[in-house]
Amino acid sequence: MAVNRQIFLCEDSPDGIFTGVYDAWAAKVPHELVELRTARPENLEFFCDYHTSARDEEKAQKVRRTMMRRLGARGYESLYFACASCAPDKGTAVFGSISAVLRTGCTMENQKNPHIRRVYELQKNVGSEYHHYLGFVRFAMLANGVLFSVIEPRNHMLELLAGHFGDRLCKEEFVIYDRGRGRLLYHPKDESCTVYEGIRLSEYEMEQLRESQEDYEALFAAFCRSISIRERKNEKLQRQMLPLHFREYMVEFHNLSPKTTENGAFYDEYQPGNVTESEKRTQFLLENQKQK
Amino acid sequence: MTEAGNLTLMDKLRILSDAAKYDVACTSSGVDRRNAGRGLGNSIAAGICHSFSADGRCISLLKILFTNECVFDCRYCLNRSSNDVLRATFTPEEVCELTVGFYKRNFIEGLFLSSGIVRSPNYTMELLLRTVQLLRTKYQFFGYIHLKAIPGADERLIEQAGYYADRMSINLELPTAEGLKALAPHKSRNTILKPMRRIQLRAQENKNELALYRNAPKFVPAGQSTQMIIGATGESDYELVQVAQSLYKKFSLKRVFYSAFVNVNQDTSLPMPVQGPPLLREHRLYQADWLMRFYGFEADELLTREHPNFNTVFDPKCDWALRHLEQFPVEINRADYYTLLRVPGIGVQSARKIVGARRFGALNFEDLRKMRVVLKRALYFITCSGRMMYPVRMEEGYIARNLAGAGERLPDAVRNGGYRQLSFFDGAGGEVWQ
Ligand code: SF4
Repeated sequence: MAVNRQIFLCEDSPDGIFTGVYDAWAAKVPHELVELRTARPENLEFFCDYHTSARDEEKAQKVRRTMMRRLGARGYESLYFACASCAPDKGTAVFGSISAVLRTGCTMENQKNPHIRRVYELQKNVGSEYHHYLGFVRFAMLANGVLFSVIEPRNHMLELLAGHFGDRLCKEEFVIYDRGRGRLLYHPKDESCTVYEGIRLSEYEMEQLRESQEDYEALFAAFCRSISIRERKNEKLQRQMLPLHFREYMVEFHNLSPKTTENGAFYDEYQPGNVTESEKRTQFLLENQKQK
Repeated sequence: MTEAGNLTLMDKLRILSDAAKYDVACTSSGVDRRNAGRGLGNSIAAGICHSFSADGRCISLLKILFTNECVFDCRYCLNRSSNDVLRATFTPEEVCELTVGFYKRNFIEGLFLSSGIVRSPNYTMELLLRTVQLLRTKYQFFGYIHLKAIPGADERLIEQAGYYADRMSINLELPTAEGLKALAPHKSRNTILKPMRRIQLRAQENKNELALYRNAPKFVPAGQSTQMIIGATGESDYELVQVAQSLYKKFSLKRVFYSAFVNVNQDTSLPMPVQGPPLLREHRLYQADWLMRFYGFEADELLTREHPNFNTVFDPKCDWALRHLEQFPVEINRADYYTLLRVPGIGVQSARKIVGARRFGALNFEDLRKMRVVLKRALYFITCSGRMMYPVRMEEGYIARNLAGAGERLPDAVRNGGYRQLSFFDGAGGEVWQ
């Protein structure tokens, strides 16, 4: 009598999780007892049966196609986004949802079901980070013309971002490096993206990247400053919309070198009654203009 | 970079973005366009924010003026001809290089190009047209372009530009013709509304062309928008929402933007708000605007001649609900989508979740809580299977006191566009893995 929890260990990727779903279903164990894990447990727990589920394209493809057919692109997308989450219970939530969909004939709108609710939450969480990164990714152009970006996302982002930037920057050679996970997305000109695992950039290399000081970066930093309306200054709102943890890799928040400090931080130097560097420059140019 | 008295690119960018900052239409929304290997860039209908400026507003487009030279003398504008300010002018190539350079680094979604009026409206419009033409053809740029139409310019120029831009806008500037006459002596209602109408008609024709020929060139696919300055002249909120409604209905505008007046010229003939720009008023207008665009509200329902201004304590929907208690409570398990949207505290997301989930069984308050439908305010207006969450007296004063206690979470900013339709299809049964 199987009353033990049935734990399926699978790879931390959509295909890995979908394979896990397939294997768990095939194992004919009660679905309430199934857990899908994407990380090896540190200690083995009692009353658990462990199964290892090795990623298998074909099995994953079957699950994927079934869900597409059952749920349409939108419903499938919520499962796919949930798979990219960093939450340890995502595999179980995905399995539970698929089980509910196939057994009761419901859709992903059935928020009375706790697994479906959980998938919805995970999707929202991943989706919001993804949507942030669509805007907050910053590329620096290296001397060889490659666009290079560093991110440190909470959830898996590279596969999601590949589609967006692969289309948008199809004629460019670009790299997005997930520093925390040591994964790197590479897009050659006019071709599709590949993800490389186990890439570690040294502190020195990171430093080089950070120090890249293109004119465009100084120009953009200056733009961000001059576009703000002083009378409406609202840093709390700015922080809500653009949380601090994103800013490490966003050039407009870096202090650029002394040569261009005037374009660096936002209003740091601005105090009522204080004349800033850029205001001095404006004064100088205005005098000049008048003389002409 | 900052040696001589000549303007560097940096100087120009500083001057011409500073001069564009009071234009609030910074959204990149409204059109989906894939690049599909053609050149640089695409467009996402929901819009993308790339950064946030120190005032908390989204930075999405490279928002600049082509020039801040101007032969007009609008009282509210820093660039008016009578002002002694530093003037600068880009070249079309400079604008293109900046746009492309920023775009590749993912700093922006595209370009927002406006301009002061140099020499004449036509001369200016030609420069703008040349710039966007260059950007689309020579630079193969497929990102978002929002272009201002210059009031008084030849309509043919405006129309031509519409084939390169995703969105065009002509600012209404002031809600009434009298206000406009007083503050913008060189503009008239006519030079603003005529091109607006023209763009509307052309866009309609274009829709028909596209229905016939899928590959016909697209004319302002993301539609038309406009902007009004709030608080410079004496209109009531009632008049403002009426104007907005007629712009949506009669001119098919996609968006109307409201810009809290900032007296940049310290002009003593204009209001000098001591507490800074009227931001709460602006916020209420955006809320009302949202209710009209997505929630099915009519301007008349929100404000009337007798009740001409928004409540400072309650948002427009709450305010409306309190005056219409006879329509409440509504039954969560039966009320249709638009009725649910009228419940204070229930927004698009919650209403959709409810409509989706109740197909699989009746919902109770516990379900709603688990689905993260916020009940703090809604609980006074809803029943689940005929029961309210707590006994509530359906009486304005009582509910108003409780709602005021619940407080309003002033949203960060009324979000850009982004109204997405969810669609779910159910497949047939059969084998498990089909
Ligand atoms: S036309 Fe009026 S609002 Fe536009 S730049 Fe000139 S003075 Fe300013």
